Amino acid sequence: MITLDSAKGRVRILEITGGKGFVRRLSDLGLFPGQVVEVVSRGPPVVVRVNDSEIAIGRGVARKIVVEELNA
Amino acid sequence: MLKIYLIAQPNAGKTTLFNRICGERCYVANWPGKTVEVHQARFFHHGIEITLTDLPGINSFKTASVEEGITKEFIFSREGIAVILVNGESLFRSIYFAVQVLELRDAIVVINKADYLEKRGVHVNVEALKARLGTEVVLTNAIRGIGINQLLDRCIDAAKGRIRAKRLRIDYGSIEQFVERAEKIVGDRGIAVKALEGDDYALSLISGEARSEIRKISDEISELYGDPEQMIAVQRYRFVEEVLKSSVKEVKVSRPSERLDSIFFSRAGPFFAAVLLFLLLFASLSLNTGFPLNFLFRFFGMDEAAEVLEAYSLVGMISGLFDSLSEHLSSILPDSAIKDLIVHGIIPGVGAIASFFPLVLILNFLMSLVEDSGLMARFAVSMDRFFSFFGLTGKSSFPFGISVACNVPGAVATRILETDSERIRVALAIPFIICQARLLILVLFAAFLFSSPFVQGASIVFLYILSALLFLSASRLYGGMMKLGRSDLLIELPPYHFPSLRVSWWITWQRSRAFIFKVGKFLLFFSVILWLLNFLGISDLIGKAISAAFSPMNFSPELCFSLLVGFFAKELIISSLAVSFGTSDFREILSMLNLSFAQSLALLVFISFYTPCAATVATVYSETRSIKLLAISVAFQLFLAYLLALATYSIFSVI
Repeated sequence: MITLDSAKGRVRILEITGGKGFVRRLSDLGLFPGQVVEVVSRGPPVVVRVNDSEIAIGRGVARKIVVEELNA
Repeated sequence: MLKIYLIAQPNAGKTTLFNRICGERCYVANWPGKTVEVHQARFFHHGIEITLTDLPGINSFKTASVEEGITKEFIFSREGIAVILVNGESLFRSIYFAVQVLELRDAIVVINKADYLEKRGVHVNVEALKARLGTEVVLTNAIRGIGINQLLDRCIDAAKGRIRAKRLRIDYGSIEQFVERAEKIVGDRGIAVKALEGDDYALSLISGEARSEIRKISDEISELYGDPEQMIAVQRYRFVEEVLKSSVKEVKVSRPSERLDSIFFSRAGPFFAAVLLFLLLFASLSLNTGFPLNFLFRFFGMDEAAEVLEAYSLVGMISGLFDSLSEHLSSILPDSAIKDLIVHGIIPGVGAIASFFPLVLILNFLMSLVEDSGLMARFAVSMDRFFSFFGLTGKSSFPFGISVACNVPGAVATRILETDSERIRVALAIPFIICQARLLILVLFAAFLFSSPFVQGASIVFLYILSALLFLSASRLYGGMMKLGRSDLLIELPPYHFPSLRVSWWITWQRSRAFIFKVGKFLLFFSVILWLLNFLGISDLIGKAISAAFSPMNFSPELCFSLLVGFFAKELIISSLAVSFGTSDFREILSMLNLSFAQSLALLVFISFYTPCAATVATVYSETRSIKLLAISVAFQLFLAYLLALATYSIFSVI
C-alpha cells in the first residue's frame, strides 16, 4: 500500500483516511476515491494535477491519501 | 430597484468584476444582523436602479468563517438576482461549486477570465453550457471590462421574468431513489440533497420530523453504498465532467509557466523564493526609509548619496513635515496646556500614523501584486518544507517576511492563511519578529556601544536568528497551549498571470484605509496618554517604579521610562531619552546612561523582543479578536524578553 507522498506518475486514489471534514475538504478540490491524478512534483509538498487545476498537498495530508500507481 | 448579488470562490475575479462594474461608486455596508462588512454599490443601467452587493468569497459549502456563512445563507435564501462567477482558470472546480448553487436557487453563471481560456486554446460552447445548466451563461473578462453590459442586461431580463429558469436536477444514479424520497419529505430537492450531505444549515431549515427521516435515509445509503456525502459528491463530480465534455473543447497548448514551476518545486526552490521575497522587501524598504540602501552607500563611502536618500525617503519627508508643523504651531500659539497637548501629544501621534502609512501602503501593494500574479502559491509551496517542521504551512512565509519590514501589515497578512488555527498561531507570534523600527534602534545602539564593526554586525545577525527561532517556537507553543492541530498545506495553484494594477491598487487602498481607522486611533490614544504622563510630571515616578523591576540589571529610571515609551513605538526610545537628558546628541546620552558591556547586550535583547509597539498590539487584536489570547501573548513576550535579557546580563557580567 502506498500513499501519495511516495507516489509518482499517474495514480488513482484508493482511499482517504481521516475525519469527515477532512475528506470533504479534499473532495471539494476534486480529490476523492476513484479519481485519477497526475503527480507533477514529488515534493514535499506534493503537487498533483487533477482535471484542469494543480493542487499542492503538504506531507501530512499526502500521507493520508492511499493511491495505486497506474503506469509505473 | 434591482438587487444583484455576486457569489464566487476566492480568486475567481469577483473583486475585479465588482470594481469594474461600479468603480468609485462603491461603499462599505454592514450585513444585516452580522458584524461583517460587505461592499455595495448603487447605480443605473438602462434607467433601472441597481444595488450590487459583493458577497464574501466562499470556498465551499463546508463553511468555516462568519463571512463565508453569510454567502452560504444567502444562497439558501433565494433572494434577489444571484450571479455566480466561474473561474476560467479552474473551470472544473468552480463549475462544481456553481452546480451546487444552481441545485439550490436560480442564478446567472458568469465565466470569467475568458482571455485566459482563449490563450490556452480552450473554447467554451456557451449555448451547450446554457442547455446543460438550465440557466443563462455569460463570458466575461473582468479586467478588460468585456461582457459586463451583457451580464447586466441578463440580470434585468431575469428580474423581469424573461428568462425561463428551471432548477438544476442532477441524476444521482444509484442513490437517485433515495434522493427522491428525501425530496418528497423536505419539499425541495436542493435542500434535500444538502441535508443528505449532512449540511448543518440545510438540516436547520427543515422540521425535526423531516430531520429524523433524512437521517434514516442517510443510514440506508451508508449501509448499501457507503458514506452518502461521498456518494453525492462523486455523482455530482461525474455530472460536471459530462457537462464540460459536451461544452468545452481544449486544443492543447504548452505552458511556459511549467518551466518556472519546475524551479519553484525543485530543491533550490526555497532559495529562489527567498531571494525574490528579499528583493521585494529590499525595494519597498529603501523607498520608505532609505534603509538598507543608505547603509550600502555609506559602506562604499558615498555619504552624500546616503543623506539625500534618507532626506527624500517617504518617512524622512513626512517626519520632517510634522516636525516643522509642530515647531510652527509652538511659535504662533499662546502658551497653554492646550498648546502643549497639540504640539507634544496630538501632532506626534498623527505624525506616527502618517509615517507608518507609506510602509503599510507599499507592503500591502506588493502583497496584492504577489497574490494576484499566482506567485504567492508558489512561494508557499517552496517554503513549505521548512515551515512544516514547526507545524505551519509554507503560506506562513508571507506574514513572516512582511513582518520583517513591519509587524502591522504582517499581522494583517495572516488573513491569507487557510485555517483559523494557523492564523491565530502566526498572528500571536508575529511580534517576536524584529521589524524595521526595532532594527533602527538596534543599529544605533550597537554602533555606539561596540567599537568593533564585527561585534556590531554579529550582535544584530544573532538577534535576527534568535527572533526567527522565537517566532517559530512561540507559534508552536501557542498551538500546543490551545490544542490546535498542525496545519498542512492544501492549496490550489492558480496559473500565473500579470496582475491588474487597477485591482491591486483598489485592494491595497481598502486594506490600508482600514489601518488608518482601526490602528490609527490606538496610536493617537497612546500618544496623548504619554503626553499626559509627561505633562503631569509623573514620568520620573513611573521610570523609578519600572526600574525597580529592572534592578537585577541596574537600568536607570530614565532608560526604563524610555522603554515604556517604546511600547508606543519602538523608534521613540531614542527621542524619549533625548527629552529626559535634555540633549539630542546620542553619544552624550549614552555616556550619561553609562552602560556596561553586559548591560548593553541585555538592553539590545530586551528592545528586540519585549512587547511590540501599540500599533501591532492593536492589529493583532483586530485579527484575532480575543482579548484573552492577546493578553497572554503580550505578557508572555514581556516575561520572555525580561528573562532573556537577564540571562544575557548574567552570562556576560561573569565573563
